[in-house]
Amino acid sequence: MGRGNRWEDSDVRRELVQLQQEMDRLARRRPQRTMQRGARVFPSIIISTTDDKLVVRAEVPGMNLADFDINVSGDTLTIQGTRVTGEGLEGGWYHRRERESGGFSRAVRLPAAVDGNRAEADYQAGVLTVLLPLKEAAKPRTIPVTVVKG
Amino acid sequence: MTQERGLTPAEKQQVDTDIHQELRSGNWFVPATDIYETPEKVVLVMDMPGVCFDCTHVSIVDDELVVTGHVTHGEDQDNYVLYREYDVGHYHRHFGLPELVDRAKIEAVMSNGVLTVTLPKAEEVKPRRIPIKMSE
Repeated sequence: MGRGNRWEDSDVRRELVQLQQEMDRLARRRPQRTMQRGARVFPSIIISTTDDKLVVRAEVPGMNLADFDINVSGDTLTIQGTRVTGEGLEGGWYHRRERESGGFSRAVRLPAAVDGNRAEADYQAGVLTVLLPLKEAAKPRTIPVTVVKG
Repeated sequence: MTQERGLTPAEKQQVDTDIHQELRSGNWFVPATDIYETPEKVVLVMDMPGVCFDCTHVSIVDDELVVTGHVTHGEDQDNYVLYREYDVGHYHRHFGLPELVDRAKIEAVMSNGVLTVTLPKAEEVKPRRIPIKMSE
């Protein structure tokens, strides 16, 4: 067998190496938002805080506030609902489906103690906002410190 | 082919300028889109959470439908973020317009962060029944 036919030199091997490099490149690429859809948790959330409350936001377009079932139990916030897509599809067929559809349930462990009885929710432009007042013990406090000259 | 349809050259220039200026800064995302077709129409349904009714722009430029949405709800700058699973940003997407669409009758509705663009088919491509005459 001549040297030119050895596995190490073959076109097949070169192509496999190229394929491997291509796969590595794809794996390193930062995923686009549309590529994340499908297998991820729904809805995605952002938890932020002000001095006296936690703010939990979720992107769930195409709903009404009344369609959400929102519960606070201890330190866990649960957001449930059903998102309906395909209204008006009657007698039609899809060319592309990228939007999540169906029931969802998302439970989040909150990072601070909140008063669930005074929670408020708002829904605007497809963004759900849940406002959770912090319990007194969880609010930031300023402790006066006397500096003693040593 | 650079034939103008619907927009005057000045308007088209304005749309291009708006789009390109906006594309320079901030986060931009491609909205998740469902596309379905019925015998009468083609419908695009786009998720654009955080975009209000008057921050949505839909235009036809050459043979493309261009959709742009600016986020107005979604994040309070003064809040301190503890945990983040998504980035807030604007939306932009182009769609090639099929020949069968009647461009004069395109309609768009924005509701609760969902943009629905209805593209009615031109009369001549809609399904129809051809009457059969009896032979003598």
